[in-house]
Amino acid sequence: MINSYYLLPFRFEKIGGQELLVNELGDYIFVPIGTINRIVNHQLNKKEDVYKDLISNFFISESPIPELIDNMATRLRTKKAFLDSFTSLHIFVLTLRCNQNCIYCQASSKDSSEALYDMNEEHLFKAINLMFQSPSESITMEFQGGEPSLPFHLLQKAVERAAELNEKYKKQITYVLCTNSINLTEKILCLCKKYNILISTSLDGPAFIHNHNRGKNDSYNRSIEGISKARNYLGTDRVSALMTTSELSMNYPKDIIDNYLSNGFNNIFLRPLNPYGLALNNTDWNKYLDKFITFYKSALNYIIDINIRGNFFVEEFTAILLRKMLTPFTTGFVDLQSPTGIINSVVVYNYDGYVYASDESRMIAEYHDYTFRLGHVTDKYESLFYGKKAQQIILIGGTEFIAGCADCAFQSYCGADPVRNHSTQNDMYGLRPTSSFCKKHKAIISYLFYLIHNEHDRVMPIFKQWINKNENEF
Amino acid sequence: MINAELKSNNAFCFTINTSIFNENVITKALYWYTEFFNIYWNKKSESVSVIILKVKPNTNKTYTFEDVASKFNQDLIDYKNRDLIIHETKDIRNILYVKAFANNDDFEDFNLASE
Repeated sequence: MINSYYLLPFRFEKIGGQELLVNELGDYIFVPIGTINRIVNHQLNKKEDVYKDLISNFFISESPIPELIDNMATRLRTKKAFLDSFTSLHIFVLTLRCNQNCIYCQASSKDSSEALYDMNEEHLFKAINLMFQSPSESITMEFQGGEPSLPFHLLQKAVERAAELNEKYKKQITYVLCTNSINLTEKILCLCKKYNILISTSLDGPAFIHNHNRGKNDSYNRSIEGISKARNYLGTDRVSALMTTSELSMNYPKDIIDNYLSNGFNNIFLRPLNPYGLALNNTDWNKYLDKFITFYKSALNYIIDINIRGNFFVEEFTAILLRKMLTPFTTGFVDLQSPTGIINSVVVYNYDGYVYASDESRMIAEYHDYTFRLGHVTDKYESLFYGKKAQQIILIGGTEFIAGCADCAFQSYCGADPVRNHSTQNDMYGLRPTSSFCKKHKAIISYLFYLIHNEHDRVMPIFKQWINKNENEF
Repeated sequence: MINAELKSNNAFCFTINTSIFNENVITKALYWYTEFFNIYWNKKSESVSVIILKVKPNTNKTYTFEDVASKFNQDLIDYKNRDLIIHETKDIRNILYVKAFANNDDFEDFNLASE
């Protein structure tokens, strides 16, 4: 007997010999090959288990408007909760000066003596005023560079000014100092302690990789020394590290993870190079991407095995995706947001007083491409954040409607990135078949679904703990 | 699909009944072939289109006729199913989005179209 039912919006993909269905809320279900054809042609029988599964998971409905439509709407709104507070991450590029020579530098850093690349105080204070106009009750004030601890006077004034103004605005402010930890002086650490500033540092793995990537012989030892000093001063949980996967790194996934473990970290973010700055010209991107995916899979499996042996160790990019795939909630991760995270979630106040739509936007500006320059810190908040340029960018920054993404099963988990499209394809809208951003995310999300379905018992207990960040269950 | 034939080593020809697979479905399926193929689309009649996929020069990959024909055929079926889902769920999707996001009356209405 054939039953009548109504379809609800969903998209699909074939993974591991099954059909994966993902609905508008990001819920997923695996069904045997051929089921989609039967669903859309209304050939499912009410007595089939798959029929009941599809009803209870919001893929089909027995009435034109599902009884739980309000519940669905609340869940959809929850998935987009990052929009409620608008721009919450405010990046201050205090200087372009740096004391390292990273081979993949994406920020076009300058020699550490060139003080003309420092932000001036007037611009800094105007940028802070703009930050406080954000409707977000909870904001992150992140200091970047170059090496933002080099102009210490600016760092100090920025934090003191923000703290002073916050007496009036009463926002929840998180301060983050992105530093290479090479020169973390007593003075800097004292400021971090006083204002509860988090240290986000970079560590690319063992000395031979880290030093190679930085073009220095002593960088690794000095960074580790800096990390240790910061931990002693501020507490272990106040220091986090980020690695960047250079071409050399890709041959050593286990060594990098072992290095993180031996240095006392319980997480790692396997971050690929991005096509900006020096990295843009020095890399064959197609080859790099293929190798990165192999590196990622190998590293992830090694990390899973470490967890199976009883050590809690999280791969953070995977954890972000898993939160989107396995929970009703969203994340604050800017790259995987739709509408696009640029402007909506992040903005950059550059050292020269100009305001950019994202960190990557200011990086391409160093190559005289000002496409994503929103204006100057002396402009009005409304003209910067709601002006013509902001609208132009955001109007094409939604996976729900751009070609290639609109039909993609991974739409709910992925994001729109007009800056990367512009940088790599010279077109903000972008072409998904040749997009490295699309290829990378499709490959990783497909692989995670493959693991969830085909190696469920091995990976799910670990993935659930990563989502909940529950170290105690180990 | 009415017919698939090998034109040459690097050109594959497909004749498609557009009353079964409409232009929207064909376009969406072909979109993903633009990385490695040049696409030639000839509308023979109201209900028949001829598509030629020609491998782009400097493409490192090799494509066999059987693989491309099989994949393109499956892509057409998949995109037809996607089209049916979109068509049938358009209204409920709109209702869902309106219910989820339209209750914030305090948003200032910036005119996106006129600027």
